[in-house]
Amino acid sequence: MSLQVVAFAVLAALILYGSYKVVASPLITHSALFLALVLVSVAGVFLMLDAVFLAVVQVLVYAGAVMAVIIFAIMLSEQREIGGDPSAQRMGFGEELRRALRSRHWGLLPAAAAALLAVLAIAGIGRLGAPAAPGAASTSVADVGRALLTDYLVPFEIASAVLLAAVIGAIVLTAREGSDARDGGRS
Amino acid sequence: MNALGNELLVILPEMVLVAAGLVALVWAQFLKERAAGPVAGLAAAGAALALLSLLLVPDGTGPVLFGAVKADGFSLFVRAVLYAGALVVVLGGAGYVRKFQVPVGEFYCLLLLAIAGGGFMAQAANLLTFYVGLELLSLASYAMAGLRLDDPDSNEAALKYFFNGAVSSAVLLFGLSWLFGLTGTLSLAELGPALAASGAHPALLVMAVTLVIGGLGFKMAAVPFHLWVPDVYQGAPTPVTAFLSVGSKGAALAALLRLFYEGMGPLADRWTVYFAILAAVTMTWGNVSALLQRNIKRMMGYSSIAQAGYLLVGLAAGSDHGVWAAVFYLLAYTFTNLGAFTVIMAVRSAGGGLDLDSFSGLARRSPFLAGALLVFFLSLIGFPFTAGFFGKLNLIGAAVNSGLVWLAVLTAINSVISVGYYYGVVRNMYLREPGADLPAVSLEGSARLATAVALVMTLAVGILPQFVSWAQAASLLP
Repeated sequence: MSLQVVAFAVLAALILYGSYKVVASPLITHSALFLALVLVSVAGVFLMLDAVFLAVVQVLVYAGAVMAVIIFAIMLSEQREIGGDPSAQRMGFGEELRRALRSRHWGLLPAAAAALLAVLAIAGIGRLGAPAAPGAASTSVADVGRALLTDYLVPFEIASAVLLAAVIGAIVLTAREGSDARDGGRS
Repeated sequence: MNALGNELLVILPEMVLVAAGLVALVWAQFLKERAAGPVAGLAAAGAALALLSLLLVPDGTGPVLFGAVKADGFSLFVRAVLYAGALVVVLGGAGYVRKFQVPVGEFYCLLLLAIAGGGFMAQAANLLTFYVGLELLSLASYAMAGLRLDDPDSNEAALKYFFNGAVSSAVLLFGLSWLFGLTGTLSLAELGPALAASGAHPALLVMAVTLVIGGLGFKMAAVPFHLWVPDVYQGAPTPVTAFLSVGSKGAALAALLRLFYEGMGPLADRWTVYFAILAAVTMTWGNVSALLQRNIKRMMGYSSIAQAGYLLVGLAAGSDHGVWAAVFYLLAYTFTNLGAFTVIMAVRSAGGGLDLDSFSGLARRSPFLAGALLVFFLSLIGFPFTAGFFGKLNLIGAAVNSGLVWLAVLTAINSVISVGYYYGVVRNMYLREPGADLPAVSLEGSARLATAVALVMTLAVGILPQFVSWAQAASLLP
């Protein structure tokens, strides 16, 4: 077993465990920290794929800036909104998983679907053979920049409109007090 | 440089829409409470200008702008339908926006951005353009669903739509990443040959196709991905509901046609069966559930689910006939359904409720509106001399030509079932006395124009043969 396979297995396990804890943690601050773990592990996968720039950006922007914003949002919320069920915090991992699967929200169903997906994927990929090795030259920042302004110019520009729509939507839906309060906020 | 400028003309209509949206957003902040009228006019002008600028788009069937978009007949036809639909939504919804104090600048800006996203989906030549176009349409739609800020139903609609939509986007993206993994290409033109050459295990293709159908089925409101529809259609501001029922559905249909018929055409015998089942289940479930509704917006929600089922018949046929029959039905359905929603908005803005009893005696209170709604319902049923009749006829013909006789028969049976719930409203309008507490309904100029446009188009598409030949020109074959 090559070192690459071991490294990938470790990263994949970290990502899976982290994503599970993001949704299963009773405390939202814990969810945020596990999300950071997932993001850093994904950066590791990018590194293995020789995408150094993407890995660095992933750590800086997602694990850094976006996580900071999420933590700020949690800290600025009221305590009663973020405090979880205290009895759930002492549950072990096995007990937590068992409860999630047996909950009245049909926890077994998505678990079964995910298992089926995994079986299909493994069966199918086994027949595909090994993927081609990535090219020798690793992708540089200049390559990424050039691709964004040539090959992916149109999707890149649409993405800016997507961000605009998201910002407008977020502001108009969360400024609860109506236009008067928004004007008052300036003073 | 000139070549690039010429290629940029292909996305000129979308640039116009985004620019108009930005101006609307800023202008509304200056006009404050006087914004409703002028900004609605600006948005209508933006949609009309986008529609006109389609005439400037240079002809050509190959991908342009680095392989991102395509200006073929299909993209021009679908974009024309979408932008004309946006114009009717703006005109028909202006009164509602003013009356229920929907934030003006944000509403028109998001609407125009969403329409631009739909336009990008219709002309996408690679998976990336298609996906970001879908996200633009989706994110703007989620926000629009919650724009009646003081109404808990509207908040609930936005939240439900957002969570369900985020999951379905992830599912779709996962499916697209499988397609990319199997072929190593994002280009729709190279997708089919690459899939055929890859020798991938059929299970992998099944998985990719299932995930993509699940993600886009959500946007089209196909059963079993429809669970969000009744609550979101009921809770969202009615102009937004009108937009969702035609804009999202039309863009998703265009994307499905491009992805499957254009991208995976050689493998048609592998995926048509999914769409045949999906179409059958969707139209039957939608029609039967609509029979049970007491709220007009929920009823129209289930009705639009059934209509999505009819549209999917074109994909199930998996032929060129099926493609143009589907986009022709989209044309017919867009004007018909928007017309019906314009009448519903007029009744609502006049102070009526949304339950079916609010339509009691509408024929006395406003003969024009009652007559218009009757025509729209007849077209939705598929009555002769309306747009819906030829739409359904073409779809049934395409299904029969592809050997799907059972689906053709089911489509006809479903049209008969749908008479049940449309007739309930018509009976209320014509045979019941108006209750004493129901207000008279008067139409504003813009809503009158929107109703008239929808009415004329519903009849014209049903009578004039030119529309059929336009739709036939919208073929996806190179």
